Amino acid sequence: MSSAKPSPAFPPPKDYTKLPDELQDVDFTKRVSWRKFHPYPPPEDTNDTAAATGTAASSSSSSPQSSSTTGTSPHLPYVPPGTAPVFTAASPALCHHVHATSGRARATTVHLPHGSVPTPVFMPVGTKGSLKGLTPFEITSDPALDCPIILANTYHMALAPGTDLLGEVGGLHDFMGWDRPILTDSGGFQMVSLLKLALITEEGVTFENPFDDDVDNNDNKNDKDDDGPDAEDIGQSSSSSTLAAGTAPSKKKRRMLLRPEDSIRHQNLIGSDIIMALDDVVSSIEQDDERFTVATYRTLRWLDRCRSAHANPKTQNLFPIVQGGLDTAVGGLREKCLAGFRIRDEWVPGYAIGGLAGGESKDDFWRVVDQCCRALPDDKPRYLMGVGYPLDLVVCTALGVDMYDCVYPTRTARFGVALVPGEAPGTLRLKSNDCSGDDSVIQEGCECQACKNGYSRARLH
Amino acid sequence: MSSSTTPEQSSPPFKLILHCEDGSPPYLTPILLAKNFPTTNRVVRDHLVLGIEVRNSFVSPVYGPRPSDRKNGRKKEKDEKSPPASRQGSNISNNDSAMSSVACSITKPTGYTFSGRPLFKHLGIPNDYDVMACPSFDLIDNCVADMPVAATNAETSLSTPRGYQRITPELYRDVVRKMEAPSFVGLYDQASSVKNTKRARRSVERTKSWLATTVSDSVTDKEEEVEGEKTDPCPKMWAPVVGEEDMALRLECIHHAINQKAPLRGFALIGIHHVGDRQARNTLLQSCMKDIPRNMSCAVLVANDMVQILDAARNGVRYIGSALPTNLARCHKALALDLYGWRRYHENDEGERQRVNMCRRIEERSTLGDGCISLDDGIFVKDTVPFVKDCSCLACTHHSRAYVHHLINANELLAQILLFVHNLHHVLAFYDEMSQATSMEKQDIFIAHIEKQLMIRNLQAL
Repeated sequence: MSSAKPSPAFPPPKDYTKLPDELQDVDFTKRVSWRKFHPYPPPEDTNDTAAATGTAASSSSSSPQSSSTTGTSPHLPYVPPGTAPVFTAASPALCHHVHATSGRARATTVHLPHGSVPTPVFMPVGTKGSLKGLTPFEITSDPALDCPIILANTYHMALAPGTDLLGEVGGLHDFMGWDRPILTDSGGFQMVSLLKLALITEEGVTFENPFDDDVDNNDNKNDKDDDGPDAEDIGQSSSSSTLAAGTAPSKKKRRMLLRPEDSIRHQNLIGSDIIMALDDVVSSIEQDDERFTVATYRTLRWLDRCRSAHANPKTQNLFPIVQGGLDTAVGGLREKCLAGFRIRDEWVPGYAIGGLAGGESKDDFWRVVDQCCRALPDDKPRYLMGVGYPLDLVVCTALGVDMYDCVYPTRTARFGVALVPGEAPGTLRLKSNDCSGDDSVIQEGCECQACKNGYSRARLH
Repeated sequence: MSSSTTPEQSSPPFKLILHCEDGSPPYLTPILLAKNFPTTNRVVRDHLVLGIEVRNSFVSPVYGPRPSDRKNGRKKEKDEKSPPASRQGSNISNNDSAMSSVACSITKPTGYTFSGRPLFKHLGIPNDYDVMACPSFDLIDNCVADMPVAATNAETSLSTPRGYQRITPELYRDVVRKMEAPSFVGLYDQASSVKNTKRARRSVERTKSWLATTVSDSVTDKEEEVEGEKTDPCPKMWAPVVGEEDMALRLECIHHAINQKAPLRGFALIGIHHVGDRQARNTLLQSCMKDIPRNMSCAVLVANDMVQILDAARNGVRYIGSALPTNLARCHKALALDLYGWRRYHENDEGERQRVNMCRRIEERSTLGDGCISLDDGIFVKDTVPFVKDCSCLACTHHSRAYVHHLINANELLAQILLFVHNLHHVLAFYDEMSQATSMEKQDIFIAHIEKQLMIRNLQAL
């Protein structure tokens, strides 16, 4: 596969924990935020030239959050639902209309090249170019589903069928027969989920192909040379602080190097409406503070590389992903990452919040989401990655998140668990013997195919 | 399915008894079923029958004291007198703890049996589909580890998701009555090998005696009054015909059923697919069909491949059961036969005449293909065309060979769903063309046309 643009010169490893030059003048004694509207307080940072313009709102109760507000924020201009999108030179592939707010929650529409997406929205995950067991026809024609947007995974699509093929056939939309928007992840999450198979360096991430094994069944070593560099070469090009916690890739497995340029090239070939910047993802329960610092600053450098490599800015929207671990302190890593995004805001159509849903406590989780929503501009969509538990969806929507994705509903279904309202945990285990003679449907009044067509719990059991 | 050709059917159409494992059309959610195979479509209405097995769709749990509880009465007494340590101090009386231990037994089944309930509602099938119920499509196929079918004169065993469960003719009659199925096959016994003549003889005797029990009452639709006129009741029951390769035993079953003078829908030939030799299978079919009254239908419950379907049709069997669309989908195969070329046959074409004449002489062809393309073949990686050109199924109109090839490699269930939709569409079109050819007295031409394609091992070469 031909590679994308060559990588730029890398900073020396000793600079990995050094504050990026563009952030030297930022006042980190104050909270970072920009273009905030009611009910958020105005930005504290007086250097924010992107502060909301327009007439100030009529007097309203002061925000309880900040004691240093210089005034009240104006209301976000509402656009009536159904208004046709207007794509501009600054945002040629995304138009964001806010229709209403309730506290910090918003009802919006994100207009994309392949269609419009009302929010809050949950995006089901079609990792390998299909939602498990569902045809695109069912997803769009079933009123209980009618998903306006789905997710695909760059790492998996690059493995199979390969993004060059997708480019040849016109992109993933045509390949899978899906005519609505698609969002692709950058492959960054696999740094965490496949950590034992990954080696992270400033250049990018080297993955072992989890589906490829040169070792035969008798455990006899295969003497053939594989295609990639061996482990010693990879180790020499990276600092020890950036080595993944897992074992370095073995010599015998085929490896895939995913640089920011490669990730963007793959996503360009996939043709998705929203593409994600490759970020340096660290598990939220990691104990190494230096690792978080390195990852946060590297995420900013990789964002610039992603933008340089992006070949379709007029048809595909590149979202950066806020990192920084669980450090929500004033001047902490999350603030630094947000400050870096604020500087780049001019060409950014929307933002994602990452590095969560990895086992951290709920208090830490919500605190990070809260901080990011307070900081990120209100007139752009906010996407919280990897979140799908029902309670989390409700709470985070109340905090100001617009978009979500998670494998939880499809994965838990494969284990025979149905999501139901009522008492916690809100699940029904259909494999339980209690269901063996239960002729009622999963949930009365539910419009899904299973309940509407009378598939009883006993039958599903 | 193309509705463009106007059917000229003076003879009854051929019907596919689609094997619905687990009681539902395979791979088809209600939306997919309604969209792709609606009964408003003539081809579906004329040629599709859903085959439902009692053995895996109408098993129900039994609750009650476990046999071990009755045996271990002393243990139960002890439990009642001294509650478990974890409950001490919790103010639970001895009676309460005893009730708790009994309640624990009730929530878990102590066994399983069969119970009938209206099948359309129970299985979620729209009630405008034709359905044929049966104990099992084939008892021998369901046997575990080549064990013989276990039966006595009073009952037989059916392999269910909950293990082997016994069923008597009376219970089966009760179940099918409550199922309210449009038609059903009677309970039967089946011998694994006709070489065990005693076992084979017993299977026939039991099947004959159970026929009387099953057909005895409520096996016809109630007479209905439509605009003041009574409609004739439609018999529901298919008489099972067993005997494997023994023609005499099979004919005995048929004659016995006829002599019962009971209202029958027709005869269901069980286990024909076990007859390996093609000549022998055709001879058996011919003999059976000769003795079946013309006003009754004949069904073959299992035909494993296109050749067996063609042989059954050639001999006048109108109802042909098969899991072929499902099995091919599981093997990542899509049917790709040309179904319409027989219409271009010219009688003056010597080559075609020879082909038709050869078809009339049944020969054992051990090298026949399956009429499919294998989508897991690497040649389809970049093939963006539909499975079959001009096919109007959901898979061919919305997806490509390359996409399904990718799904297969990615181990995605959607691959089998799309392949099944296409295969069922194709098989129904096949039955429709076969019906039309038969009506036009060109069945030989049609069969020759299909067999010619089956001679080609690798249809991808076309």
